This record gives sequence, C-alpha cells and structure tokens, in this order.
Amino acid sequence: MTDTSREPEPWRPGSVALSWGATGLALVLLGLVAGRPLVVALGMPLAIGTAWSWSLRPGGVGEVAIHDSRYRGKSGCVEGDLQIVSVPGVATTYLRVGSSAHRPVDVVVDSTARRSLRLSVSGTRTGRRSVFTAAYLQAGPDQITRVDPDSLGPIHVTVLPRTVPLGRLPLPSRLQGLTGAHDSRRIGDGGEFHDISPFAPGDRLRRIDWRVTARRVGQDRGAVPGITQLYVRRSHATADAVVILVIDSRDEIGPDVATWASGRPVHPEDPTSLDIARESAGSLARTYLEAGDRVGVIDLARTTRALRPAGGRRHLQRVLHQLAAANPEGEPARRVRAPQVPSGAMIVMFSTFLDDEPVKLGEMWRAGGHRVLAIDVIPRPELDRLRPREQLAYRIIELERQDRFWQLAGGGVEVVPWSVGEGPGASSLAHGLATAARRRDGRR
Amino acid sequence: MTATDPRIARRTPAGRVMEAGSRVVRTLDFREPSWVRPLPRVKIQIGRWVPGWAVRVCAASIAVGCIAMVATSRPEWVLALVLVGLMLLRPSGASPALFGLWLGLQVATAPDLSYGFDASGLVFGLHLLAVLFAAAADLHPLARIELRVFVAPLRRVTVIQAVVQPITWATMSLAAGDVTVRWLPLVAAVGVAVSSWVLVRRIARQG
Repeated sequence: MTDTSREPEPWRPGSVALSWGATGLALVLLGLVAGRPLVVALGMPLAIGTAWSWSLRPGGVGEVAIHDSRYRGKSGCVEGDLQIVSVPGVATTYLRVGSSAHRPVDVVVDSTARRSLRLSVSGTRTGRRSVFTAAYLQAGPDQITRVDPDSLGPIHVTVLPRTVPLGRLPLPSRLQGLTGAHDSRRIGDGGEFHDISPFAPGDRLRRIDWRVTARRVGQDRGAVPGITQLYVRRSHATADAVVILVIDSRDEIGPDVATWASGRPVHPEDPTSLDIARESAGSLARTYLEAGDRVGVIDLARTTRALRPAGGRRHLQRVLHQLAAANPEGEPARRVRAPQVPSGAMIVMFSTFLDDEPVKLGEMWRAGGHRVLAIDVIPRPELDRLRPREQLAYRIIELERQDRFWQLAGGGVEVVPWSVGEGPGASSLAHGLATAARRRDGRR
Repeated sequence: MTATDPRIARRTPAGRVMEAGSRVVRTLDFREPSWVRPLPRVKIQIGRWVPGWAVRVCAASIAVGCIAMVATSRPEWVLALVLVGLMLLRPSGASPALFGLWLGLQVATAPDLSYGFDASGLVFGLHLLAVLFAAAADLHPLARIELRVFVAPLRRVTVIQAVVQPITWATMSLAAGDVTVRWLPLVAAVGVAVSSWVLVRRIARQG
C-alpha cells in the first residue's frame, strides 16, 4: 500500500541556523571593533559553519511514502515500510508517526541516503483499521534550510478476524436443499435408514432389499408361491443448512466501561464488542462452510450489501471480508421489517443488545418460523475501578439488557451463553452452541 | 448525560457532541483516575538514537562550562543560567543566539585571556553548542534523534576547529607577545575564512 509523495516545494531558511550565523557575524564585528582576537575566534566558526551549510543546501525535495502496510498474523502487528528517497543536500528528515489509539513517536533520521524504516503498531483489533499517519519535514545541513511540513496517511488495512473450529453446531429446524451433510426429514437418497416399503413406481431398482423380499415370499395368505411384491429400503434424504449471520455493527464498545461515554479511545489491546462478534461469526461461518452448509451475512448497520448465502472455501473469504467491513457508520436507518432471509434458514444474531432493535428483529424472524439464536458480544466489563455514577449507569444498562434477553427468550429466541469462567470469544461459545445443537427444533 | 450512552458508542452526530462535552467535563475533572493504561506507542525501527532531552541537557552542560570560564560575579551567573534555562525549555527561540552574544560581550569586556584550555574550550564549546541546539530545535524532548544525524555536523565542526584553533593560538600568541596591533583580529579573521574556504573546497571535491 502506497501513499502519496509531493511535488517539489521551495526551501525556506531555517531560523535557528541563520540566527547562529548572524550571532557569529556579530561576534566577529564586535571582536574587530574591540580589537579582541578571541571574540573574533568565537564568532568565526559560527559564521563559517553557517556559510558551509548554506553552500550544501539541497536543490530538490525528497520523497516520503509508506509502502507494504499489512497485518502480520505471526507478530499480531500491523507493519509497514516508511521509505525516504533523498536528494543531494537533504541531511535530515523529521518524522512524527502516529496511528489511531496509539501515541505518536517523533524521530529525526539521517536522510543522506535512501532509507527504509519499519513501522509497526500492536493491537488485537480486527476490521478496517486506519494506521500510520506521518507528518514529515525535510531539512538541509544544520537545519539551514527546510521545507514546509507535509503529511501522509492514514493507511487503511483490513485485519480479518481469527477463526477457530467449533464443535457441534445447531441446525435449522427445517433443512432445505436436495443434498448436503445433514439428514433431512424428507425421504430420499443417501442418508440414514428410514424404513422398508413396498416397491412403488419411481423407486430405483438398486434400492430393492432382496433379503426382505425373500423373507416375505409366501407370507401373504392365499397368494401364489413366488415373488409377488418387491420391497425397497428407504432412507432419509440429505440436505444442507442455510445459516444467516446477523452482525449488529451499529455500536462498538470495549471492556472498560469508563470509555463507553468518556471520549477516551478503547485501549488497542482490548477486544471490542465488534471484534468478538467478528471472531465468533467467522468461526461459525468456517465450521458451517466446512460442513458443506451455506452461510450468508446481514449487517444491521446497513440496509444494503447483505451477503447472500453460499457455500465453499472461497465464500469463507467473502464472509470474513464482509465481517471485517462491518463498522459503526453514523445513525443507521430504522427498519420497519426484518431483512428477508431464505425460507428455513437459521439466524444467528451477534449484538450488544443495547437497544430494542435486535430484539424486535429477532422476534419477527422467529414469528416467521426461523430458528433464531442470539449471542451477546459485550466484552466482560471492567467494573472495579468505576466511579459511583458510572457504576450506577452501568447497572441500569445491564438491567435493561437482561430485560431484553428475557423478552427474547419469551419470544422463542435462544440466547446462547458463554462458557462459565471464560470471557467472550469464539472458543468459549462452543459449549453454548453444542447445548443449542441438542435442541433440533429450537424448543426447550 | 448518562455515563454510558449507546449513542456515543454509535458515533452518531448527537453522540459526537455528547462525546465532546464529556471530554470537556473529564478535562476539568481533576479526579481523572491514575490507573488509565497509557496507549501504546507506534514502533519505528531506526538506528541508534538519543532522546531530544539528552541533546538539550548535553548542550546546556556545555553552556554551563562556557559560563564557568567567563562569569566572574553572581549576577552574571544568574543571567547566564536564566538564558541556559530558556535554552533548555525552548531551544528554537532566540535564547541560544542571545547566549552567544552574551558570551562574546563577556570575553570582550574581560581582562585579556591568553590562549589556553579556557580560550580553546570556549571557541570549541560555543561552536558545538550551536550545532547541538540546531539539531534539537523544534523537537519534542522525547523525540528520538538518530546518532547518524550528528556525524556530518560534527565532521564540519572538526574541520572548522582544526583551522580556527591554530590561527587563534597564533593570533593570541602575537597579542600576548606585545605585538598587538589593531589590524591583528582582522588578519586573523581573514586568515580563518580563507583557510576554511580552501579546506571546505578540498573536502567538497573529495566528496
């Protein structure tokens, strides 16, 4: 990833270096007037030094750019290369490199040759991250001349959520499709044994169960000896599941409750509610897609750009990119009706449940016959250092949220709990999902 | 305004206004908790470096050394130390140049100094001071200055001092040997300038 460089600009005299030159000249004159060689000797190096630096002043402006910014999974950092292409005469480059939710760093580097400086920012955040803003200023020898400061960035980097394999996952109450990894209630080819039935038009010959047919020969009273009726083994048809991941990206909050309304940024090493939602949804998508099911994504913050259900490994990348793109973007439009989902699809909602919108949508989907799972993605809150008024505010918010969970449960929506003793995250979701998986039709 | 308002988390226009108001309240609130974790700093890989404050302190130490050579009374020390304090706090201001002028005035009004460690150190110290303050000017005290930045300026200092010091010695020796003439400083200045110019051209030609 590259950012812009700039057109050559006129160099301006540096005030500090020139003031030293003027001081040197003043001292030389003072020494000459006073007839003191030592005063002349004090001033001469300053004057000569300034003249020397002026003679070496640069003719053009170097180029500063940030290349190759990307997330390195191994180090858990976003790294980039800041390159300084120098021109003769440019001695130093002043840099202030910053990044969102990071303190900037000021450096002065030698720019007499081409330089490549490695930048990195740490953090556990996923999604679209704006990193590396750089303000820079180039200067000649002894800062005798300098150009006006300029800036570049920020560089936008997409950090895909980490995915972990999950165990047994819940399925929709009605499986659709003609093939897949799951047994449907429909009779057809491929799955578990269903029953033995008399041969009927449409049955395949290879389905005939000769043993049962032979055993039944002559059992029918009054029948003539010989085979009069064929029997076939019938099995359940296989089908795939359609799962819609609904991510509520209208808000994003961290574990430090004091940051919820303070204007302080969430610490970059604290995962936010959206990071947890992305990781959990990504892990679910991976597990379902590996099982041959179809997965779609709906972002509640947007009325467009829903990802249609599909299957396959490439679709997992599409899902992960869609999840990474989910971000709070202003006041979302209020929905009159729930987004349309395919018939028989199971819906998994990832939300903070800070308002009634996801509750309303969940109830609408459930009323439409879909199996709906609700996953609370608020990070484990840090409460012990809150001020009394913040603790009170948090308690009110939490009570409202509990009311919403009761309302969801009353409407038939399954609320998936995190594992006891573990913080929110995809791995601690496995137990709750396995419990939900045992309830095939969503009933308790 | 509640302390936890979902509108703020949602970055809506109303939320932004509330966030700004809350920030003002927090700024005025002196009970800002001390446990707030500092945000991590952006990492940048540069060569060996020194912090900006170290360069300032180094330059200020040289300035104090120069003062010790010329200051004779308490008021002079106070004035000079005030200038050094100003230089430490704001190296980009006029105080470094004022300090240089003050030093020149002190030398001009002082009884004759013979060439020795004091005079030589004074000439070298003021030059080094100028280079260090030029490097540290306009920089945050915690800024990192790559050590390579000082190589070229120090090379220039060495070359200039290699010319200035012998000529100063010769001139001051003549002055001390009762051959003082009014034009001696002028001759010395021209000599230093010409020698430096020749040396600079020679170095520039060698690249």
